Amino acid sequence: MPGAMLCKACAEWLLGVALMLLAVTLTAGDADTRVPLLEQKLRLVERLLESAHERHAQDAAARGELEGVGVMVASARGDLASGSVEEAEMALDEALRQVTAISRRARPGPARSHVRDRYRQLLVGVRAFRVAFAQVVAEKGAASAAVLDDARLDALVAGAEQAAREQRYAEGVEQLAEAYEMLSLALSEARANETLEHRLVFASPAEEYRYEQERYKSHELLIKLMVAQRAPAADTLDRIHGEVEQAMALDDRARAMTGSGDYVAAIRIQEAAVAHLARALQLAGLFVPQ
Amino acid sequence: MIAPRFDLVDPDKQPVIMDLNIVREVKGSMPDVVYPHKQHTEWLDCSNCHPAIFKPQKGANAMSMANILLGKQCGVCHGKVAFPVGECRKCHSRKKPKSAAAP
Repeated sequence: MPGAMLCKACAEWLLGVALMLLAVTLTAGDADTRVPLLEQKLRLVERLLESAHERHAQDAAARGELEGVGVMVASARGDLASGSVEEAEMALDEALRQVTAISRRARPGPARSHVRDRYRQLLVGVRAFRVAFAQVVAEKGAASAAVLDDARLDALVAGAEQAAREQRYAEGVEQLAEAYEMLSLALSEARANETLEHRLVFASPAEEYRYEQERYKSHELLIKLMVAQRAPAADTLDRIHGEVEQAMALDDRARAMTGSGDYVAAIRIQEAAVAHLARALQLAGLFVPQ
Repeated sequence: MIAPRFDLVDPDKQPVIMDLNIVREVKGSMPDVVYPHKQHTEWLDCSNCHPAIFKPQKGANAMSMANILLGKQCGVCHGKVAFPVGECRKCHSRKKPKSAAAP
């Protein structure tokens, strides 16, 4: 999650600053203050180490190096316990240097995460276009499928998914981009010079009522926009408000009708409410035919 | 004359221009909406809209002006980098048969 990554990065940056301050304090401090400050440094390095382990859970090489750092930290802990302050400090400094270097080297950078995001976007796109193409074939018959090389498409998608499983997202992106383009071209060819009609069909009066409510909300928003943009004269504004008030009263009535389940009556009333808003829009100077 | 290429990376890439109109019936006296893919795909790639903004399946996208005005659906571009939504007739461009105009 990007937010969580950012917080983690911030936390690590703060830890780094704290460790630098600690280093300055240690240099300047006397023997009495050195041990508690080293104990604090030890805890901070342990936190950095823990966080690096989490981040590189999938990276065997980095995990091996981090285990080495863990040995150094354990040694520093032992040195501190036995009073070997100098040795503890040296081991902790080296552990800090190494854990920081490992984290910096192996951290997935923005470019890598960008490629992974692109892979996911393309995969979703390819799947959606496959469904769309299947609809074309279902509608026009099997002959229309000839514009698409299905075997090639399957191979590209399978290859991309395999690459992603092996963390080779850049290769996956290349294959999916080709698959996406194949589907775009096939859909474009299959639908060339066509007009698709989306007719309004409501499954129930309740669904039609929801459509009317959305239409009401749309008109309301448009009125606000038009009034703000066109600043109608005061008398026009009064008339607009008059229409809006009547619409609001009807909207309340329609809502009340739905309480008793009478959606058919509610639709009729809501349509009347929208008609008032349409008149308000005309007053505001917008094109709304009668 | 400025002739921008279609793709930032690949100088040879050409747009996939789709000549498909979608007509959406709307209730009321407003003309039905015509969405021309052609004008859009001369500038945009399919992936700019599909499937994140619009699912490429018939009946899969419940459209509303409210959504558009709130910056969703067509409002992702229109009103920001494309003509504003107050220019109704640019989209509501197909007259209904007189008998079909409902309240």
